[in-house]
Amino acid sequence: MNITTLSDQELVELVKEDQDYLGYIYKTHKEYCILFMRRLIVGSKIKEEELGDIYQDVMLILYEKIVKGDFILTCSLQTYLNSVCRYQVLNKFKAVGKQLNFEAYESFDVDSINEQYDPQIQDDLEDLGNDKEAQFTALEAALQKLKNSGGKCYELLTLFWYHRKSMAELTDHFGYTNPSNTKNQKAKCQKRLEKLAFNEMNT
Amino acid sequence: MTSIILHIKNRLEPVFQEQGLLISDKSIEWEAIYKGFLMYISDPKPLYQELYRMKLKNPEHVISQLDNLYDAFMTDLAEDFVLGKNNKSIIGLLGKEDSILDNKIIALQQLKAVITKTERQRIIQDLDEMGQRAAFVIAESTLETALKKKARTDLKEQFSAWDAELKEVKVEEPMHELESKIYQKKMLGSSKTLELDTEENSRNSRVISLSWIKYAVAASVLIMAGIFYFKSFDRTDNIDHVLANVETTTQTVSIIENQGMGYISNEKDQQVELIFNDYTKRIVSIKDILNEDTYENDSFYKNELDSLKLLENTYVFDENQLTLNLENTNQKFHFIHFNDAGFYLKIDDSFYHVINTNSPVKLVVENDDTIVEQLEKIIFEND
Repeated sequence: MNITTLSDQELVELVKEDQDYLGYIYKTHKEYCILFMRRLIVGSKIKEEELGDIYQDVMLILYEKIVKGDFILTCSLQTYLNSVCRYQVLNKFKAVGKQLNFEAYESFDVDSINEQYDPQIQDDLEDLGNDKEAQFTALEAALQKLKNSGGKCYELLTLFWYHRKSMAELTDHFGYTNPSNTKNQKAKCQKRLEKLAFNEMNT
Repeated sequence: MTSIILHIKNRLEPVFQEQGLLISDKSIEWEAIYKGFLMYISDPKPLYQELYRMKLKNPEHVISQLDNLYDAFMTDLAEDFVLGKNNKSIIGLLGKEDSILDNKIIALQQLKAVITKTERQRIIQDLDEMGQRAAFVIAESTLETALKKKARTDLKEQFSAWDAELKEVKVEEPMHELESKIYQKKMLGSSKTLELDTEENSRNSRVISLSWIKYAVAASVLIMAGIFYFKSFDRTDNIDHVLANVETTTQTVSIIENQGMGYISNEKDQQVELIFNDYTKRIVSIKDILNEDTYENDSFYKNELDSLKLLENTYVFDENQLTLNLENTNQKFHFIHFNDAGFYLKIDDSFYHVINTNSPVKLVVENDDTIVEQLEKIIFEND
């Protein structure tokens, strides 16, 4: 398979099966997205270095939309990414109390595929709540312990909760006999994680 | 609603099976059971009535399990909710006083948030490498060459093994006489191995393996592989150089783990298979070949020697199987699941921390005295 000949839609489909393809999208579109955002931040307090972080967040937004299963690409991938970049920059502007650079907007070449964006696209990262809360940090430490201890629990839980793999897919991935066994295994892993978190909070 | 009924079916399947009822049975009113479950906490009667109506063998036994089943069902609903698979029935159950569902949702939302945070960090760190992996393509010609080389090496190893087998059988008679006797014996009775009936052999009976058949098969394979093989392979095989095989042995040990009341060796279901690959003899045989002037700079043997040296004292672990690349000297092994710290392997008097890995990792002795002391204590108590 020659990856360079794949359509945007085909790439999106591949990301569902193998997240490595997200890395390919990241590399392919990075330059244009950074250029696009650079023009938006003229005269703002947003630093050039922050654009890389914004772009990485945009990749996470794309990935999480794809694995959630309700992502429909209605424009080119570059246009979608530009639009999400724009929305992320807008949020940053709001945070620093600045207005968008409308002059920059006017100078965008709407005929150039690399400069197009859709203002209706306002996708954002799901908020994780208060990650400084004691229970959250305890669970975080417990998860790290689970990861370090080896075994399948960490992978099983992350594939289910973040990468949204179904029980059938997990059964296939881990070689369990049936989805019911996988479900039991997942329940055991969650119990183990809870115990670890409890220990974390009480030490 | 369909997905909710599916949850109920999955939870009730083993329970109904105990009652001799299959979930595909058309007499089961899933809609009624579903409604009964939804109001189980406030009013369990409709669910009881439905279970009695089904004329189960032992409805009381099913009813005694309803609390656990309800809890599991609420977990399923909470998972659906947290994953965004919302449903009117779930919404209806939310916000009630002492709602089990509410509590489960809060806990799972936090779990998901923690996992999301960790995985986001991991993906961001990995994005560059992911891109390289996705775009990495091996040229078909390179793949073909690599496979061909591996196939040749395997075949040569097989030859060496057969050579070794043949050397064990010191047949003093000419081959055609031996074959004739084997043929006669075969005519009298079928057997995979045949004993010679000569006077000498009756005193010192031997089992003669039919290894020569393997040669015939191998020869056929070689002919099919074609002249290319021999032409491209400018070094003729020297049958005097017999490489020793890798000695592979296995043994199963029980995992000593904390079962809540201390560490015990659970022989029933927690076991790990130890696979030993002892490369010692093979390394010695390669070194012997390389010591000869003709093969001193032979890259073929040198490369294998380098690879084997890298493998020395390494392991690969996938939870059920631990492959150890080390000299097997009948050491004594213990395998411990040590709470949060993961797995430890004890070889004779030393402990080694073992992590899950697909590629070989060096065995490193655990030097933390506190950990070693605890591990020794666990083994002592378990013995």
